[in-house]
Amino acid sequence: MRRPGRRAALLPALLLAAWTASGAAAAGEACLPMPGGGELTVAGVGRAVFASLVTDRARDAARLSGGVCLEFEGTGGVLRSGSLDIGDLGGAVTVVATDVTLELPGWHLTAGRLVADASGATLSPAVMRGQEAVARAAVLTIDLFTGGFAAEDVRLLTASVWIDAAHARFDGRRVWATDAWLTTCDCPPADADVRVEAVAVEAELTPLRIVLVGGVLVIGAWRWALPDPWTVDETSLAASTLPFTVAPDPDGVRGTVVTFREQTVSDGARLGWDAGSGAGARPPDLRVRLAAGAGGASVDLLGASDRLRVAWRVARPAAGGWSVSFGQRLEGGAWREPVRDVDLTLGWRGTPSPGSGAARVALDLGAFAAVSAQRLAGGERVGARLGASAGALLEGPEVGGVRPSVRLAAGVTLYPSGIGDGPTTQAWGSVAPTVAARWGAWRLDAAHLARWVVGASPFGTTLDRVGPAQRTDLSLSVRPPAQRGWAGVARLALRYDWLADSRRPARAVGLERLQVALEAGGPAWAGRLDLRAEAALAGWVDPRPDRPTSLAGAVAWTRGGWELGARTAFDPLADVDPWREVTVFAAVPFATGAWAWRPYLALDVAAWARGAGPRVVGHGLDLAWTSCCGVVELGYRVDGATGTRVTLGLRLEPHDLDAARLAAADASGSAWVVGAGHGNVPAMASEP
Amino acid sequence: MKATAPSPSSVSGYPGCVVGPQRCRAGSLRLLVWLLAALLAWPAWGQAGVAELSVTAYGRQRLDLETGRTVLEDGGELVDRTSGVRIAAAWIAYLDGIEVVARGVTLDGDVGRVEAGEIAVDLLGGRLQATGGVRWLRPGVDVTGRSLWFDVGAGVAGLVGGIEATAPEVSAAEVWIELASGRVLLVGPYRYADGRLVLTGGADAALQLDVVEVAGVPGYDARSAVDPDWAETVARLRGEPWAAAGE
Repeated sequence: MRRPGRRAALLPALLLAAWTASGAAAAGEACLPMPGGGELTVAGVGRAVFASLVTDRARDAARLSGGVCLEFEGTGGVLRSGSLDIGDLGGAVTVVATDVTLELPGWHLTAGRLVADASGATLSPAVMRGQEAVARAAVLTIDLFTGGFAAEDVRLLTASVWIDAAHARFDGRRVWATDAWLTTCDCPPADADVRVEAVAVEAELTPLRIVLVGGVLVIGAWRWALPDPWTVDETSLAASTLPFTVAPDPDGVRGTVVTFREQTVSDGARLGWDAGSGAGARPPDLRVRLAAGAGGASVDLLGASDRLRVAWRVARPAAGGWSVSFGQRLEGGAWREPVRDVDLTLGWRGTPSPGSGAARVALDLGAFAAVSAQRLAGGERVGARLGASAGALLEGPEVGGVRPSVRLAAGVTLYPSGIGDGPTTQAWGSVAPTVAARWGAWRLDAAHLARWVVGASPFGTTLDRVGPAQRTDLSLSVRPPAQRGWAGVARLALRYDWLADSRRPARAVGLERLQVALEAGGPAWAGRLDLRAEAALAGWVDPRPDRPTSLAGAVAWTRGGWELGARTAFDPLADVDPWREVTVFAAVPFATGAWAWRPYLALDVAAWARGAGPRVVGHGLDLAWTSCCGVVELGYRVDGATGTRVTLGLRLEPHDLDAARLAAADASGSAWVVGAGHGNVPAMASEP
Repeated sequence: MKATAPSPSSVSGYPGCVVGPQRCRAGSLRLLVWLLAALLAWPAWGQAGVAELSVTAYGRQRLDLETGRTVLEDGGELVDRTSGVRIAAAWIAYLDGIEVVARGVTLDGDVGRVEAGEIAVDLLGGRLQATGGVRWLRPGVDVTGRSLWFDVGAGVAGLVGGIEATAPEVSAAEVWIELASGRVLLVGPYRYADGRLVLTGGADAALQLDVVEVAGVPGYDARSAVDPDWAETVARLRGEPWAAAGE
């Protein structure tokens, strides 16, 4: 594999559009008159503003000097230079300038030399700066007749990729290059530990999509031939982490869950899976989800360690309309009520009336037929189900920061026969009014759910049994304006269950939750200080057991990788040992060269009061290895209070689009110096 | 501005071109130099005096015995017997060998026709001043300005005030011409068009045109940097009272 000696890169095809677009104002500031100077207009070339001019009739030429600004006629380009030579005035006019800057819509170019005529311009060497990319080329030719660009020895840097190529040409928004090296590492491909070398490259820059021909993946000294052709796009290049995560189940059911994020494996098809290692006695829970779709139809397959669900949907009522879906559920396991269910559902969803601030109505209708089986404590239940449901969401307009809404729903399911004691029905209806209010820093959300049920399903809740409900949720929070970097929030949350409870005496309070929390955080001691205090008070009011009662507080100071803090929790109703924990924790960063690590330790010192030693309640370690190809992060943290976290990822920072970085020395190339421009003197100079 | 394009040879061999022989056209500036040179060489303005002139009065002719001036109150004609230059005016006053003043003047000669509101010739000082609107006409040439004057001793002529000329198209606040060298100075705001080139400058700008001849075709080179001696000469003449009076 030959190495592109004089690198060339993909030059943005946007440059073409820029050049051919009209309007100097869009390209850059128009040329302004110079004191004591004048203007020269050359038909077919443009208008030049100069400080000094000399025409030479013998050479059929003119020289402009002392600072020149040239607006190209019809191209939208504005050229600035210290001097400018115009030749062949009687024929095909030519323009020659050195140390130039060229402004094009979206691009700022500097070049050591520019030669232009009616057919195009050649810049050498050239540096381009744009919003989305920077590039440099030993020679850049702009062909105004064919509307194409050609470059030699080019290097292109975008937010996600470095590309070097020996030759490149451009047409529209596409780029073709030969002898190209590419890498997502933030360094020249020759210096990257991971890169791709290709005989030919075709690229679309917006959005980025690259097709490689004759590609070879190079990792250090290892080389693998890539499929021919091989395509990468913006999504795959921009992936900043490995495609899976390890984190506690947010629902708190499945313990630590490893999730492989859904990936697009081909057009319209996605694949993803996750696995949870159960906290408690539950077995590992593995889920695999496959999804494929075309147009409005889709097929979803969800497989889990204890169940399988398949659904075909022939229409997707994303914005309203009819849908037909067919689904299967196969669920089982020792700790779950096994379910086998096949359903065919016809649905209709009304298009919600749009508009913010105004009233809104959304309707849902559905009818289904299903054959289901479930094994319950009383034995196997098998039979058909026929059902229909209707729902409506009514949202009122927001008045004075208050927006009311109510959700109405009703449904009925008929179980013809063969299930339990004979034909039966389950009908239910619910009303769920809510109020959301925003008054400056204050926020109030109130909701009530009332559900009535007539009859009962012979199946369990896993399948379709519903129960009555009468409960109210209320949350109130205030978030005062931040002062001197400090911000905080105070929250009050409660839930009241109005239904009778077998464990609750008649007329007793049914307070499920009463919680008050205060949080504040801001700069302190050259770092950040976070404070939290929380009180769970339901147990003081509700006589039922297991109502939460605790007083807790935490303080944490962080700076860089440092993390120091303490937390405590106290149960005032506990008869024995009311201190649940008094924990101190710390994380201390260390770094050596490209390596960094940070151990974490949390100790519960409450046992000291009882004469015992401290107890380790949390530990962890974070490792990071930094290279130009990104930061590889590996770590874990186990803490009784915050759960388990495992980190394994590759963090890619967006490349800094600084044109000076293009000058990175390489074995075969020349060193480039790009500095600040001054007046009409361009910013770039080259060194041999 | 009237655009004309006679062949170079048809305009006394002095087309006014900056560059590019194929773009050369008749040069009104060059012709103006020729005209002024002709005027300068006219014996009446030189040593010969008015005696070389043929004077024809259209009507009353009055001789002021105190001053020695002869006044053709109803106008008349002055014709140089040598060059054939003819001045017809609605009013003429001349003092033999001293001065000639004429109003409503039309000058005809080989160089074409010059029209002026008034001409004052200082025969002793070697200065001519044409005011009240000056226009020079000949086939392919049409130059207008507010006033024209030249200093015989300095060999410099100036046209001042809204100068408009064709071929090459020139407009300027002032045009100065050095007869010996042919140097021309356009004082801004100016506009100079020649073929594909159009040069413009603001009130603080100036453009020097130098006569060149390429492949036998005369024309002009233009440059924004004015020769120091030329700039000094123009600055001196612009500051003289008689020049200022003509503006």
